[in-house]
Amino acid sequence: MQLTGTTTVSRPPSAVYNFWRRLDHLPDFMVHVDDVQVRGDDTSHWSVTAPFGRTVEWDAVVTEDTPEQRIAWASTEGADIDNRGAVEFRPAPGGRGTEVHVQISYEIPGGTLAEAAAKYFGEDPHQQLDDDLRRLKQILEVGEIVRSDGAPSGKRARHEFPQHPARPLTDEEAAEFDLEGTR
Amino acid sequence: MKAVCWTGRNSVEVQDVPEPRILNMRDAIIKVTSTAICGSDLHLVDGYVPSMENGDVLGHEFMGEVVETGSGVPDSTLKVGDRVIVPFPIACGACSMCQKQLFACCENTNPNAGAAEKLFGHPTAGIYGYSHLTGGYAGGQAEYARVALADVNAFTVPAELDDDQVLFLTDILPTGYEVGVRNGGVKPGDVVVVVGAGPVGLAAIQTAGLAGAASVIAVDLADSRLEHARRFGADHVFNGADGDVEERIAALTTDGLGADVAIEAVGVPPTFDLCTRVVRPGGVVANIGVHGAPTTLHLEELWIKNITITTGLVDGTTVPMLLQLVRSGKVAGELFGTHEFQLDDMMSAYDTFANAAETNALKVVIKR
Repeated sequence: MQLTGTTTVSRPPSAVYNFWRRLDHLPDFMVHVDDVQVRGDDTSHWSVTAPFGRTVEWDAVVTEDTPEQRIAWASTEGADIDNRGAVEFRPAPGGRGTEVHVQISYEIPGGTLAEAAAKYFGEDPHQQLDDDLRRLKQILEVGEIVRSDGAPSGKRARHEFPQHPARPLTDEEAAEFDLEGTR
Repeated sequence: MKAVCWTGRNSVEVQDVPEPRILNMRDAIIKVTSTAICGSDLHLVDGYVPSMENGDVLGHEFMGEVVETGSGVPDSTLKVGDRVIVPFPIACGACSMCQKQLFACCENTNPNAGAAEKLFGHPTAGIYGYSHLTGGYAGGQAEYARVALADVNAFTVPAELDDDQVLFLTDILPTGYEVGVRNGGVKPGDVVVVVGAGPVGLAAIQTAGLAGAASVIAVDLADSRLEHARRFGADHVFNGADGDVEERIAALTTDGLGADVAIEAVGVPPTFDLCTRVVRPGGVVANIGVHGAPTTLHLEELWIKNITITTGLVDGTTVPMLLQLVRSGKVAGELFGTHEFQLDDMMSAYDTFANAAETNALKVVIKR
């Protein structure tokens, strides 16, 4: 599976690069990435939710790091899913900040059949990467992921259709959506 | 608290719902003191706009008093006790669209932007009480409401102004002015036609004079609306059913060539078409109407007419300016409210508004 996605962020390349280079920021906006533990300058351990709720893990290594321009990473041997990714930060024309170009590729366990089944159950990886990048943009431009009553859980919003009604949450619902501290 | 909830097609109820909470650090919670019903709310009620869910709180025209602010709202911008109006498009203030003052196209405030993009071809801003395609934000027809990113989206109101004077700055006044008069490029000496004398058309009529229009012509199918148009400053009023509207408008313009600016404030094909026929060569058709069906653009006539067509949803960027004009008495914001109700009696408010032909209602105001 090959995915590409882009967004434009109204911040300079240095700011976007610095945010992404802290790989433990990725779970903040990537819907399937539950946790990234940074273990050294170039090594990290990832936990990711795969289709049908399975958790998969791997160690990754940064294979390329050009400050303010490009970061590439790849899983190491023994990964549950072989995968690699790269992100480029290019100055946007007209002083409009930074174009972020992402490429991710991975082997889906179960191959094309699993891919088709995942899609059938509402998992569209291309749409998910688009939504991940929207949330990256929100974090960098707004300061955090924008929540509404219908989509109160931030990065899990795409999983909520049909959504919570657009009415304020009860205390129990707020607890469920990790919002206890917001009152 | 009490809130007006959508419970299904053609079904609206006042329900007890939880009070709103801060969801983002730049949010504020307001005690709603006045709110209104918009014509577009009726399109939510009747199911014309998709992606409503049982229990959605309605309302995108509201104002009130700040009772809580999030940790990301500096006291210098907003504090507890401030009286604020809240224009309906939610802006982040930081994305490339917001930097160009195109708040209605904000790239960050619609959590369901992916779904909106599929339907509209572009992501819209978040809008209060206006379906899940515009973000699933609870609306303001309630005792309390959450104002998202309040440091950008709440405007404080001077104490000497009543709610009735400023409530309509949340939607219809800036809509009529920005999307009609400003986008239409109305300038001193212009003849301006406004097709549709509902609240938004009346707002365009009321503000066209501020831009220096020499005369304003109102067209509607209801004589009661045309009487309102006179009240809001129309110099000439024509009932579209009379048949010879195009000739009568032409007769009021220089050399009979047509109006400098034609403002469409209905949102159906015949009224848009009328605008393209009553505008003079080189003129502007400013569309405000919310269209639900495709319209034929008669390019076989218009290709040589050098006209400009503008469209848009209100950004609310002129709210501070319009607030100044209300304050100085140049814009009488209180003219729109014709009926008043309490939140408990919201169903009567909806009935009165939906049956405007019999009740002659312009805007119904719901007070706390």
